[in-house]
Amino acid sequence: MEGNKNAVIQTALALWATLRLMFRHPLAKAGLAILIVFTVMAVFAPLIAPYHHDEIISDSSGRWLSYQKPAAKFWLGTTDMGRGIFSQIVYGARTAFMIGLLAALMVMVIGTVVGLVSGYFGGWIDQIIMRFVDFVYGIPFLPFAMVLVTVLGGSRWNVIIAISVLLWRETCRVVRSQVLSLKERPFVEVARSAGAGDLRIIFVHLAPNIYPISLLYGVFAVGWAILTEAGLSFLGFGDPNSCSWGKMLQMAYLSQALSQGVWWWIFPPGIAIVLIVMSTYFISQGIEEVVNPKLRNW
Amino acid sequence: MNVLRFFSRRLFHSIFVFLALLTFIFFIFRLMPGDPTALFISPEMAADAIQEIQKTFGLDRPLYIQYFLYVINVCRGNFGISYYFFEPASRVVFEHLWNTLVLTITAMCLSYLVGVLVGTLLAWKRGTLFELGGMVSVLILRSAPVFWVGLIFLYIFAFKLHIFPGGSMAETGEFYGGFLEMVLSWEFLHHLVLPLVSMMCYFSGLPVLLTRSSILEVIKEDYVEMARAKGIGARRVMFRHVTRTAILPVVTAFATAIAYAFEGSVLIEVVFSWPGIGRLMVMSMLGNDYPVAQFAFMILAAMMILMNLLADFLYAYLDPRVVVQ
Amino acid sequence: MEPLLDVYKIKIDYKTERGLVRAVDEVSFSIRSPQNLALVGESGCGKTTVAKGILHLLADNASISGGRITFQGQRIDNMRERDFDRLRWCQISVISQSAMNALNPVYTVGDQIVEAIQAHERMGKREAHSRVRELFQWVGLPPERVRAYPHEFSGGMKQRVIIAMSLALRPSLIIADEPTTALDVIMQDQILEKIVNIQRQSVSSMLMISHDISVVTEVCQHIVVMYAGKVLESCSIEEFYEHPCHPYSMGLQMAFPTLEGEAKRLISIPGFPPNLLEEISGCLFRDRCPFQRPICEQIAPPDVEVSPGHIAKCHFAHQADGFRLLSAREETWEANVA
Repeated sequence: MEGNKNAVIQTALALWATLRLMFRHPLAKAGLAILIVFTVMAVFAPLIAPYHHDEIISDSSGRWLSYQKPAAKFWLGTTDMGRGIFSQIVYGARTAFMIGLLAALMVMVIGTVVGLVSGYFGGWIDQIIMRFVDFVYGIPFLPFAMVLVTVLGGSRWNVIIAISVLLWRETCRVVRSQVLSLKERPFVEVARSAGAGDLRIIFVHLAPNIYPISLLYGVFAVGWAILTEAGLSFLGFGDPNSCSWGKMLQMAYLSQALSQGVWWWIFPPGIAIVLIVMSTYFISQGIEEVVNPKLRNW
Repeated sequence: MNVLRFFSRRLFHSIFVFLALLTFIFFIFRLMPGDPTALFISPEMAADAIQEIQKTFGLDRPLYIQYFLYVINVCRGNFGISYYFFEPASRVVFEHLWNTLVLTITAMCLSYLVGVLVGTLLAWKRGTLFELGGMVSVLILRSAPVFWVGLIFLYIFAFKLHIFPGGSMAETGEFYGGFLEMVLSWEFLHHLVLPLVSMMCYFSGLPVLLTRSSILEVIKEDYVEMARAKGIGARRVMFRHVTRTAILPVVTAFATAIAYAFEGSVLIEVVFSWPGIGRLMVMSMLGNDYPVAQFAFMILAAMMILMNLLADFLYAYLDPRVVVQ
Repeated sequence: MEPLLDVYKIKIDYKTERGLVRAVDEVSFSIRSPQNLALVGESGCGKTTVAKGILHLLADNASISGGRITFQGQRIDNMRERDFDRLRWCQISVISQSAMNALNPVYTVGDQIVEAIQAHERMGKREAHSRVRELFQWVGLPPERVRAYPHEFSGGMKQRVIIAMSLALRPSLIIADEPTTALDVIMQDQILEKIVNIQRQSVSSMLMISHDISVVTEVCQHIVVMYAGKVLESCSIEEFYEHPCHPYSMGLQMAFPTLEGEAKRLISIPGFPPNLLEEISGCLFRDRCPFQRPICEQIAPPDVEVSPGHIAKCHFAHQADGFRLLSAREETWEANVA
């Protein structure tokens, strides 16, 4: 039991050291900075945004202030229905984070567990699981998400489920191949001959070598999830009640913002998505150098 | 004949996966809101047409019989009648499929060509500011939603500058004579540019990153050093030894990327009103044209499996070690 | 007669995060055809770096910062790549340390050898392939295996392929870098025998690099002992065994078994090679040398010519006889554990 507690402390220390190493990379630092900005936006949305995202802004005579260009009064202008774009961007950060983080977490957990089990136990368990993963790989991602959202109904949770249910396949494959190569290493044999059971080997010996790559794909998953949600919302398969950047673009597109030259509606949501996804990629560069020291250059 | 066994095993495997997918599609579409018979029957159909369909698909029979009939109908290519087009769903889907293929395959081929070249360039310029700039640019492009890039291009080049058309595959009211005529006409190409470039912006990212990291790894290998020691010349070392092995992961990524590109094309086709299978799927889902939606989904799934299979074959051909496993 | 290969006061530096490391410091030796020279020393002493320097295969962050290398009268250390390529393989070939990875996995072994041949000689594919089959017979490999892929060979067989490849163009100089290290003892013996046989037939010299002096004894006539980037002793093989003049050489002999003579315990030289990033005054070996005197710390030892062709870098090279007797005893070395 003492050994188990030790192992947990070791893993925690290793995790902390990894995090510090991760953020040594200049890009990772930049990514973190951007992410913090958006986090603040998301958490303090009601305080930062001048209006609610659904609120229709009207002038003194009750007329909607639609299509206002960006000015001192409305930082990013208004939509066709007189809603504040800046406010929508701020509130949109909440949706992005919620969906991105939750989906990524599910992806990481499912993918890692399945990959670990499949890779470690091998044999028929591995065969069956890998057949299943091949099957999952054959399902077209976006169309399936569309179908699932139609079947389950359009809500944020269903979007998260629709994304996670397929996205884990990538993580699973990668984790499994990592486990396969680690399984043959001497330290596993040593542990086994010392009498360690399967569970112990998996969680105490293999896990510390697995979690960097698991984390890497988890970070990727955040970006992919946000991009997918944007796509789904744009097509009309998102949550009709939430405020998301993808939905903003859908509204813009449907109300002919392109031909009407309403650039202040088209650019900001996309830029916001680019920034937040980019920050995850930047952070992942930091992790990649932990996973693969050969890449360390700057 | 290791090779033959390897190929046939993979083939059977893929067929098996496809069958599993068919079953999956069968059940998941049944879960759509509304009456399951709405999957095949629209209230607007004539009474005898409804009868016909009921019989073919066994809509009044128990579930397992419906499944059996379903499989048979798939083999026959019979997927019901589209509610919107009033044509067999299969025909509708295949017509749109060609449009998607032209766009997608062209986009992926160009993306990978450009991507490999840029990736090699970045690997050559290792450690310079140029490389850093290149990497950051690639990451930015990969962070931009592909449909948003399309919107931006549309806005700038179609609506502001009027250089390119605002969407669809042809001017309204115009039709192309045949497939070949269409593909070779200026008008088609004119309409193709913006959606093509939009897709390329996103999809070039992966080959650039993959090529670069692959080359950087391979160049350190002992056999590359040995090749240099043999005095065969720097260029030959690069092409015959470095690139040949480095390109392996890129080639396999290419095969699977085409599968993913079909999905990406969904978004592009909607933005540009390009009449492809992706847009068809969206419209049919939103418009409850279930026969078409089902079949479109099935075709997309078949494409994914096919592409994964081709990727496996390609990899085995390029790296003889794989076949031994 | 001029030497085949003349390495004169070569200096090679590595650029690292923590500064410049002089991996090779004024190393000189020469090889006269048809004799073989052994370059021996512990791991990290710089012997492989010297070889890479000769072959223009140094890593990007390494460079030759002084001295010159001459081959067949021509200066090669500053030769243009294109010109040096012409010398490669047909005049100077390599047997590398890691045969495991020296062959490209996606091409057949035959194709890879043919590639080397065709790069330097006008020869059709068929003719080149028959030459390869001949080479295979020389090294004792079945000629049909020419069409096989590297992963279909065992380690020992791959090493033979590498040897066959190195002989393909009958070069004047073969640089063998630890050619038998990755093999088991029986394989080692076989391979060495092959090398000796082949050498007798072809007129080529060999530069053999190893950390195992018992291996090089069978093949080489001269020996150069390196340590921490410097040459400590350079002489003929007989002189090395009968009259070693540097304490390090004496220690090396104690560390390797010989079949002749009485059975004695192997003694390893305690301690580790110095960290080249740090400034060390005087003799680099002094910390591990049982005969250290104050002068060894103050002044760097000079190259002393003990007899014609025999150089030792030690202040006390002329008193080597006394050291020799002491070095044969275990206590001398064990007492020096710092």
